[in-house]
Amino acid sequence: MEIRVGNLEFQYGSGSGFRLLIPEFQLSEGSQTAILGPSGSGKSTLLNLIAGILVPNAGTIHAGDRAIHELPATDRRRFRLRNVGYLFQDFALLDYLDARENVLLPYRLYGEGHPTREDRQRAVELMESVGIGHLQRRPVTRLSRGEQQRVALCRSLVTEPGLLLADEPTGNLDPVAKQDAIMLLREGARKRGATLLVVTHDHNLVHDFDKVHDMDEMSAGAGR
Amino acid sequence: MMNLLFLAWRQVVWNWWKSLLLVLALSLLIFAPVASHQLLLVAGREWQARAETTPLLIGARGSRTDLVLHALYFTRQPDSLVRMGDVDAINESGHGLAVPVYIRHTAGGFPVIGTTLDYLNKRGLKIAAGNQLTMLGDCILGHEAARRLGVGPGDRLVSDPENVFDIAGSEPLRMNVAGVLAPTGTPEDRAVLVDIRTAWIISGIGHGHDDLETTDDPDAVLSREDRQITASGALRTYQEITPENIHTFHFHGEPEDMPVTAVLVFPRDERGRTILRGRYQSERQPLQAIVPTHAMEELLDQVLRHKRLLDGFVALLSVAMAALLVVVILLSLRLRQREFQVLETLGCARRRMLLLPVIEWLIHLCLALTISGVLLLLMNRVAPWLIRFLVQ
Repeated sequence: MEIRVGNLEFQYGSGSGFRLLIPEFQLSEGSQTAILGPSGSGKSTLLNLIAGILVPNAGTIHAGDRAIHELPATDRRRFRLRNVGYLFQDFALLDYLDARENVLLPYRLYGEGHPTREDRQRAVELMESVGIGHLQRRPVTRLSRGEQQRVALCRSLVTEPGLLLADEPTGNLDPVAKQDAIMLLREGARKRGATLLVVTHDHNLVHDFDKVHDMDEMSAGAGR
Repeated sequence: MMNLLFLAWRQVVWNWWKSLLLVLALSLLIFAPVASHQLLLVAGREWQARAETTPLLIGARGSRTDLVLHALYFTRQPDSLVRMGDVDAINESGHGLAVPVYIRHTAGGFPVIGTTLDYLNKRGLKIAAGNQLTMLGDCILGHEAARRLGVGPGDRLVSDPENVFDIAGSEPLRMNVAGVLAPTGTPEDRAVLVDIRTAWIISGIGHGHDDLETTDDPDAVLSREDRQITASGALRTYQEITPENIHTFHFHGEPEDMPVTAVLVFPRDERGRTILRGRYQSERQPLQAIVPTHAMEELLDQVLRHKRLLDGFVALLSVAMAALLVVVILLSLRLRQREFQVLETLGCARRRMLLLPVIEWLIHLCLALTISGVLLLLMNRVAPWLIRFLVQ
């Protein structure tokens, strides 16, 4: 899925000191891009704008041929559910679901008819492919951080989204586990032809990405 | 909806201890007012049904409710008594049948009902095992009393002493269990029925002892003057009535002065009923005639008045509890803010997101309704017993 951002302007509420300005930004279909920047630089805000969680004050965001910035809230949610895989810094797994049900969560939000037998099969295969096939029925609270990260990765990939957004996806993993996690993430996106956008402050994780942007250079930064 | 139900159910199960507390709190909130209402309905029905078995009741003037509870549920004896002569007077008037009851003692913890065979006929009590009362000192046990005491026909049952420290008082009587009644679901199930004269003997009004004229125990007689023989404390009195000693049992006092605690009256007809009621209307009369159904209605009215007060408290408590539940809900929603954020980020529709906690609460409510329903069913089954237990 190709992403095009033009003359993007966003500010939280009125009187907030934070202001994000991005004149131009593009992700080609199937590309793997990383954005580096310190905390508070607006990396997560940009992800939320692309996902349609936030609405820009001005400018355009296109995902394929969809103008995300023009979609009503209901359509933005539907777009997100069907086309975007989201990987959170804290993995954001639901305690009350076991590992497999966490992976299947997006289908539970789809509406009736899901998860289908195929959906379940896909979830199992995904889990096996990242080495947690034997942990399907285990409560996520009893998984290690690395295992939780893999469950979160499977959840973001299970619907085979065209766009994969990852916000500091390695969380508090140790350095070796971080490299493994990024590798799995990139591998998963590549296999499915998904466009991958990772935001992180960790320079060590982004060597092999197609493109690496610096948030400060991307943003016009005026007023920030 | 099934997916939301699944997520909600998993959430409820995961937080099982919190869910359990909430469900129990909700169950109590539902159960308490409904149960008290139900209990009162059952009590009303039970009391009225019991009261209808006795058309008219005569007893010493005083609390109408106490008299009815005493005669129908065998509660404590009234302060003043009726004389046996009053019972005879009613029977001789021809206006109805008077059945005396003398309820003062207990045996094995169950009330001893001293009465006549008419009592068993009028109450429709059937012997399930053994025989009727045939001899002084016989007793018939209610079904429950026999079961609890583990006794049956041919066994012996000793009356309870009134006061263990009352050395000079009447001594317990060892009774012969003649029979056991079939279960009736009435207070008679938990009673010991005896002939009224047996009850008087338990009270010490009558007794049996060695013949003073023929006794060979020199210590038994204090003095002999002409035909007057004075017995000493060493005289052997009998604690059990047997065919061998029954002829020695006798009562001190005139038969018409023998005490009765209440008189159940079964008027011959409406006229007899009116005449009998009129006879005891005067405030100067030491006795009163009451219609048990009316007295029960009064009792029920009193209970209803108290219940209304109780309902007020329950309503206040319910409001306080509901407020607490709202606080719990709000706090729980606040604690789950991150979870809702994640669902929103994944693309969950706002309507579905709002429905999720609502369904969770509906699950709690359904469970609470089920539990309170089961409790109410159980309570309805034991309600008659519970009412009798509370009254007795």
